[in-house]
Amino acid sequence: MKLSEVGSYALHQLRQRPLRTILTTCGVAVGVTALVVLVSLASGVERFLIKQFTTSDLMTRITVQQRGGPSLFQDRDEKPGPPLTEVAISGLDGLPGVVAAYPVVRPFVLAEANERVEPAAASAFPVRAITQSYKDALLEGAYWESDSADPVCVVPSSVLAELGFVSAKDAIGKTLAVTSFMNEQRYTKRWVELPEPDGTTRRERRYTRPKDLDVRELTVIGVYDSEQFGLEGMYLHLPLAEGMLVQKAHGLPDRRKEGEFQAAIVKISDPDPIAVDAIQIAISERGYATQTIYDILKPLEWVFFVIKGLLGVFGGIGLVVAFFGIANTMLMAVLERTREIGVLKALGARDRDVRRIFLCEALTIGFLGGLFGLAFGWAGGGLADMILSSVAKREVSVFLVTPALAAVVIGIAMFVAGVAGLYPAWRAARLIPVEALRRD
Amino acid sequence: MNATDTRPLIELAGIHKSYRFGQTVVNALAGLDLKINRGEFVGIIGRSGSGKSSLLNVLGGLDQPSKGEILVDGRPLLGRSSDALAEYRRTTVGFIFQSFNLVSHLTALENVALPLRLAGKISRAEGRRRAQDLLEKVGLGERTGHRPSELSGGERQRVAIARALANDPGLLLADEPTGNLDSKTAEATMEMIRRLHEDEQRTVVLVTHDRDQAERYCQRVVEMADGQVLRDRDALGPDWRDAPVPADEPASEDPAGDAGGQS
Repeated sequence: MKLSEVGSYALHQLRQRPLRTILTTCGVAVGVTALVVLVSLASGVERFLIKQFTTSDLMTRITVQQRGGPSLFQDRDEKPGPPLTEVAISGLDGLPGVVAAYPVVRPFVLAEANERVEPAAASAFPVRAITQSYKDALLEGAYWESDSADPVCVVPSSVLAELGFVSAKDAIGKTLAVTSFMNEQRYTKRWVELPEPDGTTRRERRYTRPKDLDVRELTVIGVYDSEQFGLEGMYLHLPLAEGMLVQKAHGLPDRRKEGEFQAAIVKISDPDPIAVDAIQIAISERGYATQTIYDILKPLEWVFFVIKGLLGVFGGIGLVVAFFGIANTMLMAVLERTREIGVLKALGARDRDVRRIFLCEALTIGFLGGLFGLAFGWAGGGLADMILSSVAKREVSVFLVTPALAAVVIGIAMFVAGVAGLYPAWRAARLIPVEALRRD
Repeated sequence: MNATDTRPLIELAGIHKSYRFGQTVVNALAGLDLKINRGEFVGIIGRSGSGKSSLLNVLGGLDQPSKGEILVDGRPLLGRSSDALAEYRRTTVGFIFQSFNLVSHLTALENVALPLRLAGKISRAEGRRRAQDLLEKVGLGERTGHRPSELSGGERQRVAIARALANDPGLLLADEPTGNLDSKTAEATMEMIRRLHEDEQRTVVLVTHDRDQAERYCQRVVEMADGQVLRDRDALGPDWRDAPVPADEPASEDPAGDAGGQS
């Protein structure tokens, strides 16, 4: 019997018992729906997090550091690689695919304004690092336009409230006192009672700076939208020269020689991981350590792979139930159709033809269940996203059904159905024709 | 198959078939020897339990004997693989059952086309055409779209006959084909089977408990008892029918009658 004939006979059989076929298919669909919802939730959350933490700016950036160089707290055992000097950094600029290379200084600081203090990471860079995307992210004000050591800064919108500014506009022109993050204990603290709209009060800390504390007083000239900077949305932006002064104000021993930098940023044109990798290798060959967003995301990928696997197993319990449903349906079908199997065999059906007919029926149930489960899971996720979006009053998408998930899920449903159909199909195939024909 | 072949189509030698029902063993066939020639119309008669249906099942490759030898066209049937037996049933044999054994959820046309689908030698469209032709041949050209439940007993048996002819087998095995039909329909059905033998030279083996029917339609009547051939009367002439029936043997089809030992 040709496979196409087996298929059409099996489909005909399923149509003969529509209710039973639908009910068994529903069993599979429920299991698959649970699987799809759970795994697509994990995929969606993964995508959401990656989107939160990555911007196109981050994806086209390689952070370069001196290999085995002096770190903030301790010397490393590794033999030091070449230092990151101005000359070395501009040398990286010449690599193919590189748009710009510039030094950065990233001290941890304490930012103080309006009697409030907030620990912050600062990022100091030259004018040439300020791309259009930086300017586009500005909510208020502007970036500095020369590399002279003006005491200015651009603050992220995420710290405005903590520093007591009512709006981005309010912050412009105000002074931000920046000092080493280790100086927090030297501030005098007191508690203030603040009235809440509902009549209660809330306690908040206020800080008074000691007179002898070494601070850099910076004028806020711009405020940028933190959300547009993803992972780096909390950095205080400073001119490079100012950043170096702030770092000196730390009072920490910097074993780096004058004219050597802690890190450099290499901007590249193509965010494709393969292109990034190629440039990373080229930089490594010059003796430097490199890091990209992909290096940070790689372990995250594994974490999500494991989470998806665990949720998949959890959702797969439904498929175990579906397995028994299919096995039961198929066994009943074999019992009911014993005489018909006898007829088929008397007419010359081979054992394998009979086996294939029953297997094909089971696989069809698995396929249809997989398809409907996928549709229900996808629709359910979409509905949940819509509800979440309307509650959050912004676009939320935490369920992601990838083509790979769709294919795998249908494959699993068919596999489960196929295994469930094996025994009934085998039983049908080995029926002795004369005995099968005697059955009523 | 060669038309001028004078060798028997089927040779059975020392066939035993026993069934076990709990503690008791029933010998359905007990050392049966039989030759069936090409183009013969053989009637097998005997009381119920005489082994005639078991013989037919063995002939059709539906059941394997416990012991013995079967040659079909000079080639042994025993020891063939399950696939080879399926092929034998598909290509060489056409079955006609007492209870029709039509597939209830298929239409008459689909039932007739089923052996063609199993064989897979011709396209589905060709198969449907052939099934249509066969149904027209048995006079059911107008009822092709009906399911078995919508057909009368005689019509169902005609569908079954058309189905038995689908793969153009040389051997037709009919097991009490008129057992479930009224006498008028039974006669028409037997006429149809006779034409298949006379016009198309098919070998027909008819199992029946109706001695009259066998004597009226068959060239040769084999009477069975206790799993063996009791009498084998060849070349029945009109005078044979008038021959005296042994005194202890009922003249009617009464299957409960005493099977006499003398002849």
